[in-house]
Amino acid sequence: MLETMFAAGGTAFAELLQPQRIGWMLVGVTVGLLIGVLPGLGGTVGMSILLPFIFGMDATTGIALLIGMASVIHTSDTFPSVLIGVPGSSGSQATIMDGYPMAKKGEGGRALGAAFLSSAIGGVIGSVLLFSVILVARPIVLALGNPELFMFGLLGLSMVAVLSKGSALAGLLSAITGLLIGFIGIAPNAAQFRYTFDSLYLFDGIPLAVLALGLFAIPEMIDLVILNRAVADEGLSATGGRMQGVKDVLRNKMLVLRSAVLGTVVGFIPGLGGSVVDWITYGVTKRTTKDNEEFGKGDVRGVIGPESANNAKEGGAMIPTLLFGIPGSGTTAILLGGLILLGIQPGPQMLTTNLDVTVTIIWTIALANIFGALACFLVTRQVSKIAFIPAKKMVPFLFVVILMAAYQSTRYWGDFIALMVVGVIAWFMKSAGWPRVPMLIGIVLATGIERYLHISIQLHGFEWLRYPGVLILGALIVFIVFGSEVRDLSRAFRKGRRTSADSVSN
Amino acid sequence: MNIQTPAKRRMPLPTRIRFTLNVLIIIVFAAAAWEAGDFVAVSRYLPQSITTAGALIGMLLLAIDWTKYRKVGLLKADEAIGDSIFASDEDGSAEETRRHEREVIGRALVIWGYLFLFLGLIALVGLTVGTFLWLLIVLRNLSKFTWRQTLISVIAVVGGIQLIRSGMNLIFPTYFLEQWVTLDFRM
Repeated sequence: MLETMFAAGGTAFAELLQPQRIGWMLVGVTVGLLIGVLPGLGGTVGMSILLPFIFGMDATTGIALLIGMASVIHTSDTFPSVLIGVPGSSGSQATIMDGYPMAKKGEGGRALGAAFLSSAIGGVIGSVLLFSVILVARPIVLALGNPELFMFGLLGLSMVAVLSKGSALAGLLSAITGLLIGFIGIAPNAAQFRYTFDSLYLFDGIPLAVLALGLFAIPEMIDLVILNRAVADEGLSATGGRMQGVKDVLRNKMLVLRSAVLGTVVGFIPGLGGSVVDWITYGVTKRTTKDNEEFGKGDVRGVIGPESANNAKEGGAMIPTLLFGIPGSGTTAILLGGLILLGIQPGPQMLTTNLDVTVTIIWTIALANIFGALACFLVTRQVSKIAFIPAKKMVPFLFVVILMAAYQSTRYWGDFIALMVVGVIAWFMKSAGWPRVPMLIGIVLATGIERYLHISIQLHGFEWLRYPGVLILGALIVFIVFGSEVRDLSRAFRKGRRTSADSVSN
Repeated sequence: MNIQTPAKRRMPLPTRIRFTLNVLIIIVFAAAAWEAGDFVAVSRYLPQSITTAGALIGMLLLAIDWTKYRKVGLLKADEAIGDSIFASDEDGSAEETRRHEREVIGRALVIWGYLFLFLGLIALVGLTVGTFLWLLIVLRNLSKFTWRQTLISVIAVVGGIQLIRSGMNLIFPTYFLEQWVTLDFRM
């Protein structure tokens, strides 16, 4: 089987390198990069744009176009996240945590350089892992039941403990508020509309893109104009810094590898990946890194971790999509439709009769990530100067983009109203030092947590609390929430013992 | 001698906003928990327990924040609130602090006003013409662009959004004047 896999790999690579196919892949990469740069637009929009073009294409060319686009969105979405503190897409939310403070310190180029290289490496690692595990992935995915998926949701929620700046209690309250917002709309387990107040717009809940833009983009823009300054402090120079970023990545090789593996693993859990992978990686990076006091203030490792993971995630997300026909996100749902249009039926045959298609997808992810990162890297020096433009000259244009992007979420006026309401509340939250990141995590995870908890209880009662996977994930959550406290306590204990030993010897 | 005790000093604006938000959130959670009582059982238990917990945590946080405020002041006790745009120089006098807060509120109102004006224009004449008019006003008055810079920028942006609209097949919002005249032309 392994020999067949490698033989298919060689054939698929040769097929993909044909000028026409590589040309279509570059078209996909270009569209993906453009969509990533525009805040609020994500893979779903990109797939919708490209889907009509694949009619009449052969499978390899169509895949090159679609996968080329989907693979690089999380590369270019770093530009707005780092330079203006606005998430370019749902996968780059955590990059803001340290990328934006770096831009404020005049290190935007360094953050971007690190982000692009770690994105490229993460993407390649994701595709290599996909290639390596796809033969054995089926039983692993089947072993993940609803209780484990619920625990993964809780794992995402536990990041609140890591990401709450200042008061942990305020962070918890913020996350609970996010869960409440996530409950708006139809319940996942019954025909029940909750907190909709008979508004048609709220029946499907408030779209994530609108909430993310309202929570982060609007308050940041308003404050910049009030302060009448650029993102980066005056007196700093717009030096490239890209190579410094590259060196940072090379210095943190293990972090890149670890985050990419984590991204791939989280990516192959259907319904969880997309929006939460970067938060989980950020939280784990912060918890497992020594000297993490600078996290949240502009530590380049806070950029490298999530950026390695969000590109690697694309490889992982292909496992349930290709092997089970289960789309893990809106993007993979449309991709699934695209594959069917190209005459490919996802399922176990992706490892037998359609093995060449599977390997083509893997190659496309790897190549698109390299091309995408290279393209972004080349324009970094110029684009990073955005951080030095005075807010009053830049913000009006950003407002136009933000409003236009927000409206594309559901294409109802409700998008505008929700954006403004969330924007006003978030601005007051920012003014009162109330953490907004936990709220976003709560929003992202609410539906999944409720669905998986409900099914777990329905199917297993409370027996599932004793499942090995649940216990392992539970222990991981405890480590993430209390890990640093335990480390501090043991350090204090050791220090205390050493001091008493010294005093005895003296 | 006029000594200001912590209890008597004027509450800084970020602290006031924090307390107001906290009280509001307790009310919202209590109302949401009450509302959840009407849901069918399977879709009730999580929202009801979460919102009840939220209301209780909200009260606990309010009590903790109030204690901190009475002891040292929230701006000193909490790093995050100390970064607030309303927070002024700690050593400044009460009058300076008040002036800073008033200044920030004034600027904020102007910017929020511009944003709501943009929405109003979109509602009236659509996104394309609305963007054109709004940018004309904002770039001249807020950004202090010259007429030449303003016109070039406005034309470039409107052209750009039309290109993106056509290329990505985006849908633009409906507007009031649409029933009489089409202002949202597309390339």
